[in-house]
Amino acid sequence: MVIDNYNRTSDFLEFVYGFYKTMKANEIRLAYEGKISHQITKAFIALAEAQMAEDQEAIRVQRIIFHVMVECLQNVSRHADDDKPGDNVYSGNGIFMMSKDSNAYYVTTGNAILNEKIPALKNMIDKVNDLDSPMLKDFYMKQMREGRLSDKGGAGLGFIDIRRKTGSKLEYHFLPVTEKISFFMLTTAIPRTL
Amino acid sequence: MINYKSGDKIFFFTDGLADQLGGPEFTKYSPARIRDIITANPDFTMVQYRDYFMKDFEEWMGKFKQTDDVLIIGIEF
Repeated sequence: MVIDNYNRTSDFLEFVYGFYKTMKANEIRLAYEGKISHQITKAFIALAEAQMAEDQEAIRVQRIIFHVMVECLQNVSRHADDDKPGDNVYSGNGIFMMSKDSNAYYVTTGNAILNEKIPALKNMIDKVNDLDSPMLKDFYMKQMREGRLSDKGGAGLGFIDIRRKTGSKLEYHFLPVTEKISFFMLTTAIPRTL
Repeated sequence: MINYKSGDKIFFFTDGLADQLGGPEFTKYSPARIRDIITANPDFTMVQYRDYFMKDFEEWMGKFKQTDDVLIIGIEF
């Protein structure tokens, strides 16, 4: 029994070390899984701020990173669906990560989403990715006046704003989970030269 | 070209105003909030708008820092 426990513990600690190495190798500065609330958002902003100050990141870049973080975290807290079979209600759970390399910071989120919502979401992101800067501005104005993507608000304004502020395309991926639910992942690059 | 009448008002603001984080749910001040303040108080003088926005913005920001430069300009014809 003692040996079993020992093995389990040592396996677990080896996993932790592997996890640590992966985080170091990918320069993952923040990672979180669970419920996303505004207190969590606030805490992440404070952590990110401290880290970027340490890295002497330009204030302009910091500002855009905060902005992207808040938009992405709000997307999860407002739109994440539950992945329990038969109980597909709003839940607000997800994963959040901030990482960096020599060129950019990356803000990545992941959350469960009902399959029926995927086409509209995909269309919105593809559209935002395809528009150039003046067209994005027009689209922003149009969506602000009349747009609605769902009853929880959100006419894609956050996506448009991220695209306008970073100049980057939003990259996404949907992974099937059950017949009702997929896992939606979204990542945005914030160039360090902005 | 804008056709305006006497008494019409135009407001311009920077994204620093709309993007300020704060409030009870730690969200952006938002263009919607700015628009709602203006349309809910159509009889305000420019001085009243200024005072209202300054107070409302400070309260929204609370103890969180100001993230960007902030400017709003109002013109009454």
